Amino acid sequence: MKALFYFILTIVFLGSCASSTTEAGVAKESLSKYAVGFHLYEHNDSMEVLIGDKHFVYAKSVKNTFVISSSTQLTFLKEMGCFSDIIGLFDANIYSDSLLLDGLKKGKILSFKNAASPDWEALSAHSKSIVLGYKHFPLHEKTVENLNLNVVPINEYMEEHPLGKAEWIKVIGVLSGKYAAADSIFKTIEAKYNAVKSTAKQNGVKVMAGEYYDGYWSVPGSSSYVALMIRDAGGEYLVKNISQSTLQMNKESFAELLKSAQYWRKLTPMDWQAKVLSKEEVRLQFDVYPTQMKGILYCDVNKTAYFEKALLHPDEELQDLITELNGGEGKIFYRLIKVD
Amino acid sequence: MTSIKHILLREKRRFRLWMLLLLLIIVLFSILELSLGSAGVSFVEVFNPQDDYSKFVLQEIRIPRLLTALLIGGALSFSGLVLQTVFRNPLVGPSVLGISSGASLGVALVTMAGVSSFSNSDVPKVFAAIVFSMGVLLLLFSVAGRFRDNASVLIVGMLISYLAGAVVDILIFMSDNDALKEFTLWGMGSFSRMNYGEILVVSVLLLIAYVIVYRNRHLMNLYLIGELDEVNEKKKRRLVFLLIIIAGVTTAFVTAFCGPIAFIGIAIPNLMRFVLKISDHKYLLPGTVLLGAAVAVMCDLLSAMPWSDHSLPVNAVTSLFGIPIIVFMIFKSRHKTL
Repeated sequence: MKALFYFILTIVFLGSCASSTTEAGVAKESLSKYAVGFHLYEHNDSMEVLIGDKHFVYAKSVKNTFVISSSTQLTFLKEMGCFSDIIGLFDANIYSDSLLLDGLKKGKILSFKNAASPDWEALSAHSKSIVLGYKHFPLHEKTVENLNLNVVPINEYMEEHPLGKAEWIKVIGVLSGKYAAADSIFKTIEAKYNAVKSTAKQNGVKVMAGEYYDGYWSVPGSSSYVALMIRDAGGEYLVKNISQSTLQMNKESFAELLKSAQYWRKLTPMDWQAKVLSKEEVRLQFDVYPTQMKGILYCDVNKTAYFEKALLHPDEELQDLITELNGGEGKIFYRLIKVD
Repeated sequence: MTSIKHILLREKRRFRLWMLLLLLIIVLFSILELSLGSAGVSFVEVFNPQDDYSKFVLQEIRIPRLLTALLIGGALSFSGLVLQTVFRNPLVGPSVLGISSGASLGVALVTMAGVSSFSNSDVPKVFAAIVFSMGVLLLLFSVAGRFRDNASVLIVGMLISYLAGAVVDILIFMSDNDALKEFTLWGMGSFSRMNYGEILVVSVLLLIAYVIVYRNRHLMNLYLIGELDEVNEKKKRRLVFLLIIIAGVTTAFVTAFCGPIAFIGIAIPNLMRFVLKISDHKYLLPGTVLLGAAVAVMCDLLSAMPWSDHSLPVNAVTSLFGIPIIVFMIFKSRHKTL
């Protein structure tokens, strides 16, 4: 019995030693403030990043080259002044950046085909570069491991907080050995956003969002990016208690919510010329019943390069929303189509 | 002689009873479909809408959806019955000839080519679906003319289906997220996409198809038991050609407007045969159309989940309903044909 007691005591002691060693090895608090998809810890000479169950440690002065798989990653790298560190990309057709396309044409930047089915052979020749992973890479985990590739998932698209998306620049900062610069850029974004947010009047203007896809309405949930942005702009988002980031709604449920909306936020990849619409026109065009509607907050995602620009300029998106929810005209992303 | 007369009379009585029951079920489901929904338009308002919004919900959302479900359920079941007769196989359905796959290919090309769903207008997709499914039908016939047996037509149809599927896979592989979402949702089927004009077009088409097939019901009965093979080969070939065209066109239009709705076309004719216990097309044709309509409305009611903000894809519900019936039929028909 005594032996058992000493055995348990030894185990408890060793266990506490192990945990205290870990505690001593990392800074106690994560440096991420809004993003929930990563944790960041600063050590004396290195930075440690936790993304899901992946764990990365980089020296503070590290110099890396990158293979990118989304246009938002390009935005981050350009903002960090690391464009010249891009050595390759996936899905060349998704990019419109002329500098990048020029590099691709001249062979300075390589194409590794599709992210869904990469050219592994070519990629393995660049195993020292960091592959910035996107949605498809969890599918290739085994191959990535076998080829000893260096893939870091950049999951900014999963963040719900507008500043959470932008905060992923800190991860890019760590990977490029420029954390301090990234942190400073983020602090500026945060300050600008909060400054704009503080100007919003909480007037409870009722706002709905949603896009039509073949018989269903795809509607952002009550804790989504859109919902938070609308709330920060002083509006009331009409979708409540829906925890998913997006919900597929039937026509009737959507019409029921849109009925009491004063504004409808719409993102589409098309240039909509309309300036004023009657309620009847809105009803006929979208099969909805806009009794209270004053306007449509309309964003042409292609023309405004919305997904690339709003990422690091959420303050400009918020400013547009605040202006339009108060009857004005947005300048950067949104155009107000008045509804009579 | 008396016993044959007695059997026929019993069949007739059973048929009438089932028709009456089906009509009652359709009325009941229709009232439920019109009364239930998140907009809170009540049962009483179905007959006397209190305000403009209730009128809008009924006229623009619930009534077109109900009519679409009735129409599409009837049309797919009808098309399935016709094809099962043509191929003398109870496990054949409207999708086997590659027509649904042709429609999918058309829609995939349109969505991946970037024609966005900017408004509720489905015109480009419907147009592409009709063009491609009719193209598949024409291709099928240009090839099938060289074969003498229906099994070869079936095999060619399946091969065309695989081919279309392969092209769709390539398009999916290369598409962006929005296009993929649009195509995926189209493939899940919906009864909420048709407007009154489209409903009218498909109704007229189905009516014409039904009248033509019903007028040939005796020939279909003879064909089914193999008697037409011996009497008149030319007549048989003409009948088969006509029936495939009718089933093909019906499937093409239905798929174009509502997406590929699964299992109704296979399951319903089998269920009707099972309840009526006969293979006479005089009874099977109207019975199948009514049962298909009733089941489609029931599936739509369940998929709409009026008690919730969520809704399920129609295809998920029709599959949950249809697959057990098909499994049952496979076990039942191991030693039987039609």
